[in-house]
Formats: sequence, C-alpha cells, structure tokens
Amino acid sequence: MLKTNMLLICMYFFCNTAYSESSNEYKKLLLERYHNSISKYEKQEQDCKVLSKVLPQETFSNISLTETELISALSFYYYKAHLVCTTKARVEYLAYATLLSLNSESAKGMVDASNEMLTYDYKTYVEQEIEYMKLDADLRTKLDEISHLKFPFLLVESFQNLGKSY
Amino acid sequence: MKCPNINKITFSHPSKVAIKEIRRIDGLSSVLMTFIGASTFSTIFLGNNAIESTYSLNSTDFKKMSQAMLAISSIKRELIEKKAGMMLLKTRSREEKLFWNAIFLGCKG
Repeated sequence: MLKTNMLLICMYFFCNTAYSESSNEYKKLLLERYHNSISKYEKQEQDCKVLSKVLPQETFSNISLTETELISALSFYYYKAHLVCTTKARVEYLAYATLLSLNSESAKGMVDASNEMLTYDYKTYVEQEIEYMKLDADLRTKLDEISHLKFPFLLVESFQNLGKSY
Repeated sequence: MKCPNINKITFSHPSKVAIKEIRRIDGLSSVLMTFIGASTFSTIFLGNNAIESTYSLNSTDFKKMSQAMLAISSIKRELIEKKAGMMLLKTRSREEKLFWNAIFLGCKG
C-alpha cells in the first residue's frame, strides 16, 4: 500500500514536471508566433500601401455627389479596402494573440494593448460606416458598384485627383 | 517637410477627438514595446534550464522581438498617417488643415 502510494506520488510529480515543461515550450512557441504575426501584419500593411492607387478622375463621373458625401464615401471605402487587403495577416495575428492570452496570464496586458492597436482600423471603419449609412440608399448602391473603390487607394491623393483641394 | 508655423489654431471637436486618439495610439505603442521586450526576457530567464536560457540569448528570440518592436513603430506611424489624412479632408479651417497636413506628411524640424 505504501509502495503504491509512493509510486502515485512520484508519478504525479513526474507528470506535473513533464506537463510544465511542455507547457513552457508551448507558451514560448506561442510568444514567438505572436511576435512573428505582428511583423507579418506590418509587412502586409506595407504591401497594401504599395498596391494602393490614386483613384482616376472619372471614378464618380456618373454620380452626383456633394463634397461632404464624397469625403464620407471615400473615407468609408478607403478603410474597407484596407481591411480587406490586410485580413489574412490580421486573422493570423488574432489567432496567436488569443491563444497566448488564454495560455499565459502574464501576457494579457501585452495582448490587450496589441489587440487595441491592430484592430484600431476596425474602430475607424465602423465609425466611417455610421457616417456612410446616412447617405441616400440609392447613392450607396451606385457607389457600391464602383470597382475602383474595392481595391486599396490613396485617400488624400485620390481626393486631389478628383479635382478637389483641401 | 519643414513644420509650419500655425498662429492661433482653434481645434474643432472632431480634431480634438482625433488628437486624443493619436495620443492613445502613441501610448499603446510605448506600452506594447515595453511589454514585448519584457515578455522575451521573462521567457529566457524563466526557462527550465540554464542551457536553454544561454541558447535563447543567441537564438531568434531577440531577432523576432526587435522585428516586432520595429513593426509596432511602423504600425503606429501608419495609424497616425491614416487618421491625419482623413482629418485633412474633414476639417474646415485653414489652420486645422495646415496642422493635419503637417502630421500627414510627417513634418520634421
């Protein structure tokens, strides 16, 4: 009986140590992947910036827009296209950030800060969407059909190219 | 671009909100860089054996940490640039536009 108890105690300590080692290895790998995913996100953001074009002058040629409506539409589609372009890297980041946060209590502060930073564009996008939704529904339908707005573009440079000055 | 002199600028409510957001982004990036550095060191020094800790000092940990820190700095710049660009279009007064244009173009000196 004593031998069995001793064996169980030894097994408990052995298993606990083994689990703790694998857990540390797991956390370390998660941290590495988390760091890597931030770098990958930044790279994708830069790639999207390089891909961004200046909207051609004829982009809104068939639509009548006031300057306020134009700014509202441009801001909304600018963030939307940017989010679409960076989705893949953002998803990878969120997966590792979530896993790291779930597995390491001490990483929570860091992950909260990076989550807020890497989802800041979503916050701005939702704010712009609220403004955009105030536009007339027919106008929104027409705007949604413009293919140029579905790809990343340069906001200020496009505004200027559309004949507007700031 | 050289930073302009802007006399008597009165910020509108949207500009005040945007400035507050930029301060928040700046604060987040500073906190994050400290956290990222600290997390790497805690992984190294809380490792289970000395050999692993010694190895880790020369491993990719530092490289990945510094890359993440550089990335955070770049992500911060992009967030501020995007915000400034949008504010440049949305604000009305000449002084505010001068201000946001300087931020957008990243004036120095």
